Amino acid sequence: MTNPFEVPDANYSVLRNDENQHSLWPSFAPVPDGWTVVHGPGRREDCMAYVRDNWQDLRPRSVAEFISENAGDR
Amino acid sequence: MESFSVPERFSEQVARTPDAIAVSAGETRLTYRELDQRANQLAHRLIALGVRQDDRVAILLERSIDLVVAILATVKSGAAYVPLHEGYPADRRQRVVDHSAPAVLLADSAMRGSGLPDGVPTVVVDDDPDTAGQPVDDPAVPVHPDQLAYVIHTSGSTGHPKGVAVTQRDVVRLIFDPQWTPERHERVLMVAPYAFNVSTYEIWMPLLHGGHIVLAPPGNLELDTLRRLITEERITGIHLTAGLFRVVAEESPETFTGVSEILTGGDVIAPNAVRHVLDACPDIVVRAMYGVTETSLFSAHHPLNADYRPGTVVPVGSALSDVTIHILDDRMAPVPTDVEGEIYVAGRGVARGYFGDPEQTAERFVADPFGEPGTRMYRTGDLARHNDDGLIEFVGRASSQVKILGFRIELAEVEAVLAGYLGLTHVVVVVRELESGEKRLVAYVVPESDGLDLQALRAHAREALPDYMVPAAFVELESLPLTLNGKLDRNRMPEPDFDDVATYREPSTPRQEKLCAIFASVLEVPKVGIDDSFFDLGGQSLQAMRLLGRIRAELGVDLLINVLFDVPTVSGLDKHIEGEQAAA
Repeated sequence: MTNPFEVPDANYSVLRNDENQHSLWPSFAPVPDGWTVVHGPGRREDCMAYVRDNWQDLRPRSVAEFISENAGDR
Repeated sequence: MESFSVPERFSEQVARTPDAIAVSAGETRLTYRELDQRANQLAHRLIALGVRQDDRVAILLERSIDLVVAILATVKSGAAYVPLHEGYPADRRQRVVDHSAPAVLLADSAMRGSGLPDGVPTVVVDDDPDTAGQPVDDPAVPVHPDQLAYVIHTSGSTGHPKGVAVTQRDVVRLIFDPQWTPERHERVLMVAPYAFNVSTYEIWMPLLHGGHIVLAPPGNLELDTLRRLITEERITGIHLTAGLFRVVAEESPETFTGVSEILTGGDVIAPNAVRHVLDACPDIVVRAMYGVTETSLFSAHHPLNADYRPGTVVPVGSALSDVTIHILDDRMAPVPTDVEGEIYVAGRGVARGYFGDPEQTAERFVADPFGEPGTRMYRTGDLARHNDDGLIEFVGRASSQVKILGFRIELAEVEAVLAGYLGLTHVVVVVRELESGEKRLVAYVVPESDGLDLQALRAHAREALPDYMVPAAFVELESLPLTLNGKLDRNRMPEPDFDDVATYREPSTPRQEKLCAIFASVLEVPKVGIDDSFFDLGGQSLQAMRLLGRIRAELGVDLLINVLFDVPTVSGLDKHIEGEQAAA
């Protein structure tokens, strides 16, 4: 069984949720609720390049905001 | 409202049981209040050094009370701990430090003696006058529950360690899962290397429930020490990897007398080992655990008690609270009962991702089409199915698939077939690469008693498996080598003797000599006797074709492949050729 995320010549998209988390996503599958297509569909390696370039901070948005709000306390 | 912050939950526990013992190492023991104050001082020290929320603090200490203080101080400072494995070589520790970019390294003088990583401000906690002067009150750093608690590194398939980033919420929800009985974990033996994800259980299960961490002495553990500690310290809860559990179960299952619950997992659990332990200690619960670091240690469990009847496998069992385990096919559709699919874990425990690696995070932590909007699931690479009882059964690792002679082979399948042969306690199948780059399967087996017939085992395998899946060599071992983490150490498996399968009888005619040379060359073994079977030496169908081609080229004789199956030895083929030539 080949995992649907590991098919080299299949089409993929990149999804993003409200917390700015990104997910590779096979094009054959419907986009789940709470996610938006931000790249693709296209080649897998292009999707990975998009992720590399656009998702530098892995912290969920709410955590990043909390930390910048509380940074002044020190 | 219940807090999902680890330091807040710990503070609540300190308020409830300030004078209870929290941690001990031999005669040295700290109460909850003492541990809290020492951790507060070190947390203030970290903050003074510039540690901020969601920073990392690397930890490199011997197993000691200072280690527990250092980990607690790190989460109190708002940072995540990055444990460095005391047993790893210096360059691997350095790579973990370079990759996780910690704000501070906490070490001790014992580890300083063996060399510390470079490029990071370091506090040697047992030799640091500045800590003693810090206040003992709680720094009370505001913590978001989705801040990281720790970053634990696992070996990556790419060869670089991957840092799995686990949040405070993940830890708290695991430890407060209502399916635990915390009283069974009142005194927990801390015995695993702390850089291994099991430390999450060993540290936080006791500390967040008012229990007592009993530290095993530093270094590798001996069975005698384990037995002594369990008895003298009246250990009630312990986690052992499946490999170590099996060893104890076989050598001295009475070691566990007095223990209330044993957790085991991380590898295939031997049903016989569970039975041995339950026979020796009928009041124990053995909990088979399933999980990975990426899903915060444990996702499913299967408690086994004295009623347990060993089957062919110990099931992974059922999901822990608030965890959803999907078994999906290659179109991401749930598979029916008894059909194999890949495990995806959703809900509680899905980690933030791989630290500093958005690409691997985006391809492994993926959108969950079955869960709440915007949530993610982790695809494990583990294959499983639902059995008729609705329990999940582990089938194998998708990534342990290997290709031999172009065939895709699941090692777990070969292991399962061999395990069906009576009288074996362990079976491990590994891939060995020959000088030519060709791969061969080697089966390592540990028999229950002396007198194992390897030829009969090979025949058993050949009956159940296509020839390309029959191991080329079978090696009998007294026990399996284990790593520091108690997992199977595949690198320390002995080299097989590919030519050790039959009594060697040398060729006596020029044609036999030629045939022996062709056999040896095609099979890539040093020498072949005239009674050695082509298939016992690891011959497979593609090699059989090559062998017949070489015989035709060098001896001018055309043989059908069926002849080789009927008489797979040099002497047999020699006689057959002689008969053919006499008839011609």
